Amino acid sequence: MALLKGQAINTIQIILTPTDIQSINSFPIDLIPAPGLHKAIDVLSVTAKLVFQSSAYTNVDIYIAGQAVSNPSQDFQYYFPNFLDAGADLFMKGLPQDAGLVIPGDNTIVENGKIQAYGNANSGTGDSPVIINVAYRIISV
Amino acid sequence: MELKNQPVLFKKITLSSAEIQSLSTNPVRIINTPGPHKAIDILSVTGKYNFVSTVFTSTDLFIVTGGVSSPTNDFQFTFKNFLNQTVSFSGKGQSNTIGFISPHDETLKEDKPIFAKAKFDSAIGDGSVDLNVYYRIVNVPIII
Repeated sequence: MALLKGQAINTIQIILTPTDIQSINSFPIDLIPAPGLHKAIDVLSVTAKLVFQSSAYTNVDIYIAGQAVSNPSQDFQYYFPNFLDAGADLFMKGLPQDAGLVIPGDNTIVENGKIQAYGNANSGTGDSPVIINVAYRIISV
Repeated sequence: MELKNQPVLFKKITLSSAEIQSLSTNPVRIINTPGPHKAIDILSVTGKYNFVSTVFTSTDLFIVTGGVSSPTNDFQFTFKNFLNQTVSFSGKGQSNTIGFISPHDETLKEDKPIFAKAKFDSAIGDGSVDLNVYYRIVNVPIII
């Protein structure tokens, strides 16, 4: 077994626009591209800042998910509950999965899967951007 | 914007028995303020509880950001039932889960230090705790 010392992490920062967020359930936003065959993305931490403008969203949660976003209970990794509907600036650390949200046999790490942001619903209102910062590493499957 | 090979920072600290006895009233600063427009994002915390002869009556150890007067509002990692054990052992801090925060709680704080804090003070107890904290400094994002 190889012992790897001094490994560093990668970070990526993405701004989600109000248009992105209003349709983020139907159209998830790519954050990190698929890493290639026999590799997977291990998300270590996610932070998000809602820069409130004047109108709150009606959807509430953002998920940071693996590829199969049609089944969020299967592969999401971090989430921001009660985030998008805030009426003021909000800076949060994403919460990791807890055991109750994973079904037996779920693949919570997806080989060659990209990482996306999506919401629990779309929103007919809202005008605030969200800045997402993801710390991650690429692992071999 | 994508940044590859960003460093992970590391801090090791030992909490003495005297510090643990008053750790609810007097939280111990373990990471200093990062500066304006920056925040500390803890990636992982491990702890070793070193039992000597007498347990503490307090139980939980929190690693919290900023406003320690309201740990339910902003704590990041918890060692549950950690300080009241009669043997030495090691544990990994558990991150916030949804049940511990209220809607719209701000769990990251700009330019605030990180503290170790206990659920209660303890009149007795003579063990110590070694903490290893892995973290990164993030810019508090702004729209330009």
